[in-house]
Amino acid sequence: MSVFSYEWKKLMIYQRGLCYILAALLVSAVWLAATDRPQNCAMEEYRGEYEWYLERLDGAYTEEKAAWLEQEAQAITEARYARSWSQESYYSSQITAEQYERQIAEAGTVLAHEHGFEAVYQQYLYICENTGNRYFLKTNGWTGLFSAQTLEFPLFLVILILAAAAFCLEYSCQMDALLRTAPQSRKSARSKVVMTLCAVFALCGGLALIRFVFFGIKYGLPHGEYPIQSIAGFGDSTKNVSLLAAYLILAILRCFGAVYLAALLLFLSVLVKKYALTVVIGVASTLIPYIGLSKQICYRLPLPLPFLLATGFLEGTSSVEDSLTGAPIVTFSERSPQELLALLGLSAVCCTLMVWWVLRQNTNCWQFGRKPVRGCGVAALSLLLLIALSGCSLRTSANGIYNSSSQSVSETYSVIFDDRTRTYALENRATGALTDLALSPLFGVFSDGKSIKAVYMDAPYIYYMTSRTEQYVDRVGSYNSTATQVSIVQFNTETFEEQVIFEKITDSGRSLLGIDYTVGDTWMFLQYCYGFFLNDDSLFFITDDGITEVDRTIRLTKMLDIPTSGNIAFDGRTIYFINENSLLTAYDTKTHKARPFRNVVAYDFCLTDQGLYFINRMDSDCVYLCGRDGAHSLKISNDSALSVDYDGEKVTVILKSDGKAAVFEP
Amino acid sequence: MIRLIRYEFIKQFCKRSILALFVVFSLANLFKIYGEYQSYSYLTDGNGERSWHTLHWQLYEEYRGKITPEKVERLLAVYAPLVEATSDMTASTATDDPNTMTGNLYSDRNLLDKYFVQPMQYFYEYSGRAEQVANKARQNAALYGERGAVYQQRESGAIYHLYAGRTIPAFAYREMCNYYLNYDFSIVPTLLLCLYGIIGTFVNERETQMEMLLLVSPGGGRKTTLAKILAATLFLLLTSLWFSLLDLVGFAASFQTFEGLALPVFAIPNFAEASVNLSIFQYVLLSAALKCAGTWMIGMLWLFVSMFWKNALLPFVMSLSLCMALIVSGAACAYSNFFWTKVLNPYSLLTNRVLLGKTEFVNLGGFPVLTWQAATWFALIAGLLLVAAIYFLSAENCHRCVRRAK
Repeated sequence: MSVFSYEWKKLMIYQRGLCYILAALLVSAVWLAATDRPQNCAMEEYRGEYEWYLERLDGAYTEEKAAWLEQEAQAITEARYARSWSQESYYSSQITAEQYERQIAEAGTVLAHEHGFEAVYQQYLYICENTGNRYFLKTNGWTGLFSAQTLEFPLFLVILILAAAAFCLEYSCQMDALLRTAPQSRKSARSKVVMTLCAVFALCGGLALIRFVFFGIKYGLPHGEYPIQSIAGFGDSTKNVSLLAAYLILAILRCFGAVYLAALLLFLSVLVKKYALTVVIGVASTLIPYIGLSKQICYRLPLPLPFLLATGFLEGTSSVEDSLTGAPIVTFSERSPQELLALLGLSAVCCTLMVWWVLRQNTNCWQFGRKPVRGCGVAALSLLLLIALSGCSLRTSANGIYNSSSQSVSETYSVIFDDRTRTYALENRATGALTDLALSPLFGVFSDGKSIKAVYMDAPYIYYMTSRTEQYVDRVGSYNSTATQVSIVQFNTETFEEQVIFEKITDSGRSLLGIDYTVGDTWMFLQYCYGFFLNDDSLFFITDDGITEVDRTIRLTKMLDIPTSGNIAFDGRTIYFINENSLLTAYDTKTHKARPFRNVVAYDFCLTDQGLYFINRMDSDCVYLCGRDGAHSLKISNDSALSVDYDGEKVTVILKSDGKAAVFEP
Repeated sequence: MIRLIRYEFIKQFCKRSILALFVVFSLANLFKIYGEYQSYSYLTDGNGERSWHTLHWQLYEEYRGKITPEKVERLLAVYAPLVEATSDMTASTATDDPNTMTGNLYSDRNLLDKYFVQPMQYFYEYSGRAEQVANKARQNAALYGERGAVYQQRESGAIYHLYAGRTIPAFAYREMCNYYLNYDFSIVPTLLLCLYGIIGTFVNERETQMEMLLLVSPGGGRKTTLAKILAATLFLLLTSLWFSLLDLVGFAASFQTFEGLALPVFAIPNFAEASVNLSIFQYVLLSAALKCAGTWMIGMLWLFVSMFWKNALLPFVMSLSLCMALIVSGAACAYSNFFWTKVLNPYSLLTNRVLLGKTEFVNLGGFPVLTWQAATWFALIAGLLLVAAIYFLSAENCHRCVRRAK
């Protein structure tokens, strides 16, 4: 058996190196699969519609494509208008059923892909900023692939274990002295170094491959030849690199960073001969600059850190506006290829020197030919410090009834919204006493960043959604110091207990100990949410784009295709709404099936305990009542109505004739 | 015993490597603090006659101290014309205007706005807002009293007592304190240094198999373990206190002032809802004490992890991972309304503004307890349990075993 095999067995089997490498690969893959969320949710939610547009636009920007997109935008706006106009005309008997069907079908062809259009139009706006090198393509795969901008901790920890253990094991049991007298000591040291560096390289390469395969399978990685600027994070870069080449460059730089860190640890372990000190210096040399220094400086240091992060080498210059003076503050200036090569060269020299020194220290006197010079460790360290410094100085429930159009009411309380102050109050229906929401006396007193956005009542609970924006440092600088958090609080009206049942930070830009990173835009919709309701399984958030269902246990989001321009009603299981063809529709939240009521063509509606009151478009906008299954329609009033509301006790109808309110006691 | 602790302390912590790391980490911390000053303060433009730095300290002499109507009027008499002149953004942008303080109208307005008008307005309005909170808390207490919601009534009472009478009578420079109280970086070197010091406590003797030898000495076994725990505690406390002190000195040196330390802590905007009625200096002392408690608990956790291993590598990596997990979860829950997640994470005692900067309570047997108090109790109890576990799990001295056998 050769020395290499012995060392392999010792490092990889006895010291469990192989086990740690496999564990790191497994943990990273599982973590990626478990936590990955699309960077742009709309592209995934309406994948089919988005791809329909992309087939026509794919590739570089052209005048024709821009003109077609603008035309399409115009056509969609017109079709939306035409659809509502035809409905209006048909239900007021101005056009025949055939004409109506034809017009609706025409509008339907234009609007077939309207959801995907929003996503593609946002992409078009981004491309318009620099049409030369930004291409249309499906970006979720590539954006996800490039989104790893932070230090990969499983990789970092495994490098620490592998590299520190290579020599320290022998130092800890003082076997190094024995090994040095062996004729093959140099060979043994060389095997260790080569094996550690190769293992680290393979691990880093393996992780890069896992990411590539994962995003390739999950989202697809089309058009690797398109410029890197097509991805938002690299929009301002001036480098002429394709997407695939960029990923290869990043993977190679990261592999080099990993090898460099391993070489540094090997060097330190031979220098200090102690596990703890080796590891602490290795960790400090990476974590302290990572957390303590700005990105601007990090990418100028000849340390493993910038290579382990790597994305900054391809990013463009970025700046933010000073909050007081409005002057731009450059947060990161682009690194030119020459600077990258210089840093890479310097680091490669350091790496080689360290490896050379490690081998030299492990060479015995017979192989050496002469006595080792004392103090060469100090000299090597000083040289490294010198080089490092020169690098630094380069340059500077029970479920009641919910109607979104009216405030919630229970038997004992009703919610009152003050339009002027935009605050909510709770009215005790027996005594008439008003209590401001939220009950906490601190709410919104010291900052304007706190507000209640919506209230949902389900006796005996009242749920309210609060939004809180906090800024921690009052000057825009190098980190995301502002965070908006949306929470849903459950308030028990009997015991007066409050409990938070859901909370999420909505921003996709986050900061941890000053390290910036981005997450997908999964929770961005909460910023635009104006209503919500819930049952035991899910939370439903209403925004202009539709309703988002969020699972209460696993927090999985799902966009429901429900238009939110009219009233949305909910009885604990079924969501009632008016669909785009004016048909009252019931969506079952358990079976996820929508069922339009064929005979109920409504202009407005409300849900009550008795059933659904609706304004019938087929009968001169008179008010009708039908069951919750849409059957047994019954005419309630002969007057045409504009709107119908339910406040928990009575149904209020605004009459078309004089604008006055008529009240029914159901 | 004291001699044993001294020996252990000297053996474990008075090493050249620890001292070198102390120096390097302290320098890195000071460098970072100076970086904060350079990045965030607007008073870094030198000592020129028209620089913000010079003008600010000249004007400051005029407005510092008790806020009086005369001072407010005098300030507004200078500020209001500037706002008027610059409101439509058509004023001259020349930078050498002789009729201005800094050479530019907008710059004059910004200087006054940032350093005088905004803080003074905030100080002036604070007592009104605090009174509003106290009144609402009193009303809530009455409401809860009617409904028999005892816990909520007690909580409202506690809020009332905290906020009633809060006022900021004097104007002072608060920029240094703002950035000092929002500074987190020193936690990283503190934790790294403590981790390095702690990890060797048990492992060093196991590596050289000296622990067998120690067991046969009269002072060995659990007595040595106890001495090690106490020496480690001393080291953790000293390290934590050193970095707390260094932060204060570093900020004062960078900003070249100690001004503002006498202000109440709620004079800093993101401490408006602070759960303590202390001056900033008192807050600094309390914060240092809480940091010590947090560091000690984490240190005992590391000590516990390290006692089962024969070399330092794996316990070091495990403790580092544990620490990263605490930091990441602590930072993710920093703004959370799930207060228990903050209370149970000792990292929140290190970044204690997430506890002290907000008036938040947890329900302990029907009594509202402020989160910082609950977190401190939790850290101390958990730390003591870990100490007990380390003590009882460590090998017993042979002498004692023999004596007991007899």
